[in-house]
Amino acid sequence: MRWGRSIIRSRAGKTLIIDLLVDTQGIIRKCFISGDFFSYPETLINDIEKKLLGCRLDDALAVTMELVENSYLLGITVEDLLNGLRRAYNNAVGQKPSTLL
Amino acid sequence: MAVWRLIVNEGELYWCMALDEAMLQLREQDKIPNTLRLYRILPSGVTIGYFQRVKDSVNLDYIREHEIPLTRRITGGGSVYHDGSGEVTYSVVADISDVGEDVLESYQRICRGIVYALRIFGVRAEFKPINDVVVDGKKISGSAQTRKKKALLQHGTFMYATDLDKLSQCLRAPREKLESHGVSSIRDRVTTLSEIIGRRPGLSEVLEALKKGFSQALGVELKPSRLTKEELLLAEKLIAKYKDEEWVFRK
Repeated sequence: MRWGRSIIRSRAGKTLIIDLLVDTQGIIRKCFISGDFFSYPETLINDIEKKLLGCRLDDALAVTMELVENSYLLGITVEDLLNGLRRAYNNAVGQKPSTLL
Repeated sequence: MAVWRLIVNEGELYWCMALDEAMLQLREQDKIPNTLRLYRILPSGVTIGYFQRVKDSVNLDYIREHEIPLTRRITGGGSVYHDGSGEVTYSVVADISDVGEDVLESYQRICRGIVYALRIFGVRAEFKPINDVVVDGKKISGSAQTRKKKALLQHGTFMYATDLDKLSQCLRAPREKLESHGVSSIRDRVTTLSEIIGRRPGLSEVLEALKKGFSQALGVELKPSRLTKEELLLAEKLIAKYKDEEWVFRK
C-alpha cells in the first residue's frame, strides 16, 4: 500500500489536495480531499471520501461524478476533482516498487 | 429600512466559533433575528477551513510552541490568523432570502460592507471573487460562508493592524498556491489598514466604520443589542466541539 497525493490550483485560485492510500490490488483504502475551497452542502466532500473506499480509479471517478450532481462547488470544479483523483491515484500506483510501504 | 441586530463583543477563539455556530442554528429555527456581530478573538488564535488538513494549512510547531489556540471552522476557505489586537472578525447570520439565494452574489454583497468601511478611511478596496477584499492586489479581508436550509453564516476578517510577520509564521500555503498569486510568501500578499494609511487606527474607529459599512452594504439599520440566553447556552455547549482534537485534526 502506498500514498499518492495531487495538488491542484484551480482557476479561481483555490487549492485542492487529494491524498489516496491505494493497496497492491489497486483499491483505494484511505482518502482525504482537502483544501481552501467551498462546497454547498459541505457534506458532499465527506460523502465522496467515504464512497471512494473500496473503489478502483474508474469507479472512483464515476462515484464522484454522481455525487457532485446535486451539490454546488465553489472555487474548484468537478473537473478539478476528477483530475486530482486521477493524479493522486496514479502517483500512488505509479511509483517504483521500492517506495512500497 | 429593515432592522438587524448588532452585537459587539470579544472572547476566546473556541467560544467565538461556538457562538457563530449557535447563532446560525438559532437563526435557522427563527429564534433570533438577522444579526451582524463584530468581535475580537482574545487571545489571538488560528482557524482553518472546514476542508483543510492541519499539516498543510498551518505551521503546527510554531503554533504549539507559542501556545496559540487553533480550531477548525464549520465554513470552508483557508487558514486565518486572528490577531486579537489588530483584527476584527465579523459574522453575518441571516435568512438566505434577505441576503441572496445566489452564493457568489451573497459573498459579494456582504463583503461590500468591508469595502465601504475602508472607503471611510479613504482607502479604495475591491471585492475579489470568491471571498476576498483586496487593496492594490493585496488581501486585507477574507470571508467564508456556510448555509443551512434557510439561514446562512458568513464570517470574515478585517485586518486593521494585524501583525503580518506573526501571521506568516502561523500560516502555511502550498507552494502551488503562492505561485498562482505571483508572489513568494504569504507576507507579500496581505496588507493591513494601518500599513496603507500609515497610522494605527483605534479599535472604536474601526468598529464605527464597520457598522456604517455593513449598514450601507446590507441596506439595513443596525440596532445594538444583546445575545439571548438561549444563544449563550448553546454556545457554551458547542465549545467542547471546537476544543476537541478529533474535530480539529479530523483531516
